[in-house]
Amino acid sequence: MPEILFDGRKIAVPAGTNLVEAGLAAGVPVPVFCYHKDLGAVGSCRVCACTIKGADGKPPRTVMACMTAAADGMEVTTLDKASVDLRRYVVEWLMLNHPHDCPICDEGGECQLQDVTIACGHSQRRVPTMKRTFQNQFLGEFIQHEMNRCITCYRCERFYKDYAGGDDFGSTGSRDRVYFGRFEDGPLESPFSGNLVEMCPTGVFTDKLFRYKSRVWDLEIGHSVCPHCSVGCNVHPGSRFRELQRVRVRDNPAVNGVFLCDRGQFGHGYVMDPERPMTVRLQGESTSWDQALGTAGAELLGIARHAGPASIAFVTSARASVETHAALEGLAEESLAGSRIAHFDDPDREARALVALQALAAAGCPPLDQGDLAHVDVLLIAGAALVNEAPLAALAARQVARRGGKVFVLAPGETYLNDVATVIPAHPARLAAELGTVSAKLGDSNGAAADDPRLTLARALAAAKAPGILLGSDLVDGPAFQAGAALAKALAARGTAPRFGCVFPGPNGFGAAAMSAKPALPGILADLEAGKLQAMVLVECETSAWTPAQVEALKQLPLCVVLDYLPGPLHQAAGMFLPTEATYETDGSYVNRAGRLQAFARSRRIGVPVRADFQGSSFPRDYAVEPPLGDVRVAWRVLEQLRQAALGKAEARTLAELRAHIARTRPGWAPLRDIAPGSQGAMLELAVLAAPQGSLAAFPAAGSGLAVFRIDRTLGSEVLSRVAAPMRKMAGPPVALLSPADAKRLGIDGAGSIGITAGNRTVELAARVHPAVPEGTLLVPRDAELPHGLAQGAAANVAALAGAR
Amino acid sequence: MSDPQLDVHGNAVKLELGPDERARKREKIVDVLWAIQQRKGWIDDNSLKAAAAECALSPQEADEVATFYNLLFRRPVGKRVVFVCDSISCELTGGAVLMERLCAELAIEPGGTTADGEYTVLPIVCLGHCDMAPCCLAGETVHGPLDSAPDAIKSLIQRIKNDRSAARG
Amino acid sequence: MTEVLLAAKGKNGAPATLDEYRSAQGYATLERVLKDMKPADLIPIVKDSGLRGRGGAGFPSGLKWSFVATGDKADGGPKYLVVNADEMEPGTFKDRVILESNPHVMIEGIVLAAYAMEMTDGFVFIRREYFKQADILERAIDEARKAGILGHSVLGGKWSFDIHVHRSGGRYICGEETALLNAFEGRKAQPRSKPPFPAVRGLWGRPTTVHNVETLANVPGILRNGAAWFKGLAKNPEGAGTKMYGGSGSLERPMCVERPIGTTLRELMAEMGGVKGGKQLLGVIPGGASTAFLTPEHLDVPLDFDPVVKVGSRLGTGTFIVFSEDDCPVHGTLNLQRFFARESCGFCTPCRDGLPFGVGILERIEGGTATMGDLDLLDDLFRNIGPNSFCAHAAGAAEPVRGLYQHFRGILEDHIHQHRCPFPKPGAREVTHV
Repeated sequence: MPEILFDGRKIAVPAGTNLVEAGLAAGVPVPVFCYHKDLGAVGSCRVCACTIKGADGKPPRTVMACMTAAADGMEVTTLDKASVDLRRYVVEWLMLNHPHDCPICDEGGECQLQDVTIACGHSQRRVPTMKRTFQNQFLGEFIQHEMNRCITCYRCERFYKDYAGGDDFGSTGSRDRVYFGRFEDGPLESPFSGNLVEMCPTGVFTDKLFRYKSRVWDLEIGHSVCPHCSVGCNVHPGSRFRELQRVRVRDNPAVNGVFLCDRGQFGHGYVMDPERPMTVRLQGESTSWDQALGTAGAELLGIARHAGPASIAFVTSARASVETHAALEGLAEESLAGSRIAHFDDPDREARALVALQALAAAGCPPLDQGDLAHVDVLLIAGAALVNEAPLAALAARQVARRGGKVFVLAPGETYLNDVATVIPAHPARLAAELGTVSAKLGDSNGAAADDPRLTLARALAAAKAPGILLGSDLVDGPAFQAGAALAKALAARGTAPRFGCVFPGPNGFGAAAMSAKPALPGILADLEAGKLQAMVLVECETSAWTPAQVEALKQLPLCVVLDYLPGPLHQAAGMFLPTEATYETDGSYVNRAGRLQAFARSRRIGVPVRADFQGSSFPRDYAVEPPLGDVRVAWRVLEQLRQAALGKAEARTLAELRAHIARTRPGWAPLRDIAPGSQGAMLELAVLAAPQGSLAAFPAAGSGLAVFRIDRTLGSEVLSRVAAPMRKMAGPPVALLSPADAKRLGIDGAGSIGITAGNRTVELAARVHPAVPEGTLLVPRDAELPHGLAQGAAANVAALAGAR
Repeated sequence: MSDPQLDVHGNAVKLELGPDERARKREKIVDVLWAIQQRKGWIDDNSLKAAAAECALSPQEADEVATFYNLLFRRPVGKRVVFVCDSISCELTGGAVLMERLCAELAIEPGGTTADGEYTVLPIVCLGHCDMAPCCLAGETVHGPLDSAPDAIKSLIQRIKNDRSAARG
Repeated sequence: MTEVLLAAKGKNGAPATLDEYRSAQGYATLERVLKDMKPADLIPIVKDSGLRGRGGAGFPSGLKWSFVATGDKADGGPKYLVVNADEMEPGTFKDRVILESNPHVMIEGIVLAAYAMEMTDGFVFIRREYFKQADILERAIDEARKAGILGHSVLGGKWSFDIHVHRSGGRYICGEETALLNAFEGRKAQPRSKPPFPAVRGLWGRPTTVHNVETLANVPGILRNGAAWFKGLAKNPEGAGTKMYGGSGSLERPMCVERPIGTTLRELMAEMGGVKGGKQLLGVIPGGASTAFLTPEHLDVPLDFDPVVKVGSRLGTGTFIVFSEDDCPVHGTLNLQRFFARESCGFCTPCRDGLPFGVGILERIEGGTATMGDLDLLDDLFRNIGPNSFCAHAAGAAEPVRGLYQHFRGILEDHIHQHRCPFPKPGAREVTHV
């Protein structure tokens, strides 16, 4: 480790560390614009000037800190006249064309240019030249463009093109007229465009949803976790006067680093949705919490006595917190012991999550978490176009390739990694066989040229120092989960240290699966349909995966209690509705797809925002202790209060008590006791975690028609983020994907309209040809309607509809 | 441009080219843009898209190249473009006067195009013909050393008019 | 008259054909080298000859060749020789003269250099404005190809090599060797960071050597007659070879001639008819826009790399620009700075935004509205721009300003005190590019 003297402070840094990072280690923040720890150094802005004196006896010279590696015995100073002068000049040059419109700029207060300008001592315009004027572009619903503020640090382009793989954004022109934008106005195509806001050191790219809403220092910001997929990216939601105004990334090096996807950054519209139910309702009428909880508790107790506890079902989902799942289990005790509990609201996803957890246990190697992707040299992604199911994982997978590693995709419909990965568009029903082939060929190292990409894949995995296998969710069947785990085991047996991971449904799919002993939902739904249930408590659930008969039976139940923060059919149908707090409004925890427990804390105080309340005139003249519509409670507390009411408990348990209870009673959950928001989180102990029972059938073998698979899409299919209009606009309508061969057979040229028939029902859907979809399959985004009862991978008749080209 | 392969957002899916093949296609971009410009006089948006497709680039990537180089035009120009050198050797021998008189004769500002669409006059960096300063380039012909007397300017315009290499198409 | 590069002559000023080049001993060296010498034998000769890069930097060519991994150290993949014929330095027109009169001398130089470094392909990057010169070159390459000098199995041997011509989109920065590689690959011509150097990762990531036209044109002579002969061509003891010298600006007969390196400005100017109109000499910019002024006291300095550095400037491209007593050096510098600001690629801040800042100050000085404070600011500005920009572009821009302050401080101050430019010249106007 080279030892250097940095502004008089002696530090040792790893060999190859550049002087910006060395400065940080020494507690000296060297100003930077173009340098970014994840994008690397290019040396274009020249603001990180410092002067070095080497041990080689050469005279001191001014260098760029980002481009210079620390060498043993080096003396670095940022305070000498040459460095100070140069930095001041650089800022002066950059400010020649900057409009200095800080008073109306949303970046103000967190603007690197502001900070560095002040820090470097530039305050006066010495040569009054004309400032250049650019025209801005419409870049979609998420990003506001203000090119005049640009200081040409190239960070946006380097992120967008090099890091995220986009090709519809970059820099045109030259000299002092470099323009960062698109060929023509239009939405940025990259699903990671929101990072431009974070990347830009000034206000060229700002959050359109946040435009002119607040000065950033007025925001209340809490440490939270993104609820829009199972990666578990860390976020800083910011709200002001009870209005959630924006979501920005929180740097968690173990998970997302400083990156977010657009779903996570701009998908928060459901929180402030005007349709969001905020009042307690009983049979359609507003009522009080006490009244509602008392009624529900009494009725649950009555039903348990008369019809038996087995006629009561408690159901929650993968978007509910760990604490909510735990509190739900607490209800099935004492007088209610024997009532039924399901931790998932979709039978298919329940089976999938349980089997994924079994596979993780069976693989016998450490899980492949988001942060681990930074160390993988050969990555196999199987059964998912990753950018759809876990966008940030796809972004990290791209970096594997950029570092010189190899990436293989064994799945249909890849659209994001196809320029850096070897894509084998495997039919989901053949995935287990494909993985088996790879396992079998691991030892096949004879010199023959590998024409078959599977052989290339097997050889790459066998030769890898740190191989990684990441399975998706929707396109993986039971045998494929087993085959994936077996492949990891086979690699471990060959002496490498593989990591194996899965994608789970929802932000807490892993947690929900780990709470489950076996699949519970199919039995509950069957009984519901058969009229054997008397009461259901549904916590933060959807019924979109249920049959119409099941939904109808729900409406006929004597007692149906729904707890949620989303509007929708369930909230309409419920006899009793109890409004709950969304993730950003509450304390709780999620388990991400690799078993990482992460706590989140409230960052929005719930209630009608002041902005809506004072209706533009002035601040309200009437004062109350509680904000209007502020009595909305977190789901786990409501369940605890219901438990009080039904079981006569003296007190509802606190968050800490709930966590302590889980940590004490469930093997592997001990870390839950000590987790804190704003940390890196802690891993569940996979080795001792009780693996759930259950199985997942193989996808049906080819039948007549096309095998239909529901898939996610990056924007538009996830249940929370799709609520808000800007997201729906950016996502566009759902479009099914089919293979060129099937399209030809159906007479579809490029794109068209198709009818999907199963049973006696036909639905209509837009469809497009995709080169990486295998023949015989149809990939349908989850947000598109499908005939009910069509199991994942089941065949349906597909025909081109009139009007299709 | 018959690539119907679109992804879920309706974007064209990148052609599955190896890195070598992509590099070979990319290398041609300036020549492809130049060929278009020779035919049309300038590179309009549709032509740019076609050039991008030819070179396995996105329109944005092609535009980055098209807007960087001095000899490629992304705005319409006249049928004949006259590049007048404004670098030091020509400056010392009367290049500024030449530019002024030529523009006056054509009744345009430097950078402008004549009303009949025949001529555009643009400044250009040193043409590497400093022994012929002051000079200008029209089509493939360098004219110099140039006299800025009224008759000489008229004669220069006549020579450019008669130079087949100077007219597009 | 010592003409080595231009020894072969075409008829009536036309370029020398293959036959004409052959009759002046052309390609005989190549035949002998391919028959009798191993690639590794060539590099010591070029090293000993003292040949230095003629593109402006004066880097020892033999040393440059030795940076490319050859023999067992090479990985067996393609390696490229790139010829920089992007002659865009203001005041420079020497490579054009070689291409117009004797293209085969460069081609033979390319093939010999490529053989020494075991290259697989040669590429000439030529500015597009050199339409006729590029045509001449392509015809010459075609002649050579037909004669078996280029293409599969060079002169019937085991080694294959060919040369391809690539025409630029036009931009001064393309002359910077790494920017040239980006331009070649169909990207914006922005310089790359070094390391890795082109000899390790150049064109398409492969080992690459970039050479100026004139440098390569010297190679056949060196290998034909030996290092000692080459050194003996020079007029000054530390020099080696001949040099293409050009003169332009306020000169009676601007032209380009090949003379022994180390010839003085006085001799060259005399040959070119002296200052235009019999005026007094104010100063010269010795080697293209990015070199500092010399004054009449330097008329007897040998125009070679080291002697010119000793008097505070650089030889650069060896094509000097003459300022007479009527030419304002501030105005000239403003012209140069407008050029540099306009041709900045836009990558780094000192160049992209610092140069226009300098133009603003120079405009004030030349326009007579500047203060003495502005004089200090301009001086300080370029001291900060020069050493701190990403590539040599802005560093080159700082050179004439440095010379201006060194030699013409009085003229600068006259501009301030008289509130106008004391020289009789109309001002230039900047106009916008399409």
